[in-house]
Amino acid sequence: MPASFRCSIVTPSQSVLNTDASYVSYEAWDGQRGVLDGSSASLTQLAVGTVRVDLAAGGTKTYVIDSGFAQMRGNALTILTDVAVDSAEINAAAAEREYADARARVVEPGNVAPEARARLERAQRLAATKVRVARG
Amino acid sequence: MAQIRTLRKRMVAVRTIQRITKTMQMIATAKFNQAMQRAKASRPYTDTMRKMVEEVAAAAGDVQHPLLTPPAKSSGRETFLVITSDRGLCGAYNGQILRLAERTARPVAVGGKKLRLLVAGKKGVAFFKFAKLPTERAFSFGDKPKFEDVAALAQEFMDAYLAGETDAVHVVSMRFVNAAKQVPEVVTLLPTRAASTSAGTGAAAGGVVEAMEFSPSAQDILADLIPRMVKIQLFQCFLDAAVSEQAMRRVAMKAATDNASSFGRVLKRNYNRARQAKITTELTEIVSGAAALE
Repeated sequence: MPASFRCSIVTPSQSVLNTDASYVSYEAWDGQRGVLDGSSASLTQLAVGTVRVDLAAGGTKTYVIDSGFAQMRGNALTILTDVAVDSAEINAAAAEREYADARARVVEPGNVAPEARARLERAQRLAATKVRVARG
Repeated sequence: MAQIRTLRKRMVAVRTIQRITKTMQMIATAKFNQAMQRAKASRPYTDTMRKMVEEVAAAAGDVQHPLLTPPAKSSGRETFLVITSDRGLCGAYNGQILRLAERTARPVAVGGKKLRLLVAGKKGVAFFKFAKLPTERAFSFGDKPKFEDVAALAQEFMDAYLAGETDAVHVVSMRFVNAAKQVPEVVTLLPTRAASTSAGTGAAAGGVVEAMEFSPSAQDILADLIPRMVKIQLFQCFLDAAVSEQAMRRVAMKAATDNASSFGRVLKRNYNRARQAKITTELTEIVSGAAALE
């Protein structure tokens, strides 16, 4: 069995995952990062994207997350995010619809406030990630 | 005879009420357990978030964020969000919240500031209409508030605050302490004290602080953490309110069931007495009649 560490993904509504993992990769604000057993303590801001968890017991789980934070400390990784969707639960057709809606809102005239625009673009990126994951 | 019939009718009515309140008590218990589960499920997020804010605030040193400080120029407006229930029969739940809300909000309006009153729940809407305090908006998140909905509302508050449209945002709701105790309280959501009060507590705790690498800088992370903290704080208010409502409804319905039960016993005793008196009267009449014939 490879060296492992505790990995948990937490959202405001529930604890999505709490398991032993051998490797976790996620999309940080500045690019892809990976965490192995014994990694140094860090707190990283996450971007909209995927989190891949290689389970210590074997197998891989992938989640689509809507930004957040990843904290590695005491050989335990905690990912804090508003939304975490298991890739197995993503419906391709629903994801396509969500992407089309999000895209329509972004190009809609009138959404010019920078903060509002940033939120809409983030929603579009999240929908695009779901589509990409659903297509495999 | 008339009294016996009346008593029997009242006994039936009381039994029916008892059955209804007993059922409502059981429903409230089930809903309370569900609401409690939801509140517990959000706790890991809140706890982790709070610890992160403490650590980052300690590392960032002097914390500066527009959501932490009162606006430089007063807009002369204050926002109040009052969280009440959609349904009644939950004891003093709505009464306690609304009394506190009126006590807190009215002086603001009287003091010359403009009041922005937002109400969650039908009971609050009806109350403020009666109290002649104009409500700007009314909505309902139901028994199961969703984080997305509450986060959108919190974002609205933050946008208004940053745009200088309001000087402060207060939330009047019921805080859940335990199954036997719920306290109405006013929480100042904005300006938030999320980081300013907790800054340095990590060092104050006296523990060895593990060296941590922040990416991007602690200040940048804090700028993203604070709005999230405001959202989760508001979400906690809604979750607490949902749990408290069901807890208070359960207690109120239990009291109503117990009262109906004891009142039913009194009615039963009175009924038996009246019935016995009637039998005794009839027997006396029969015996008297027989004696008259001898």
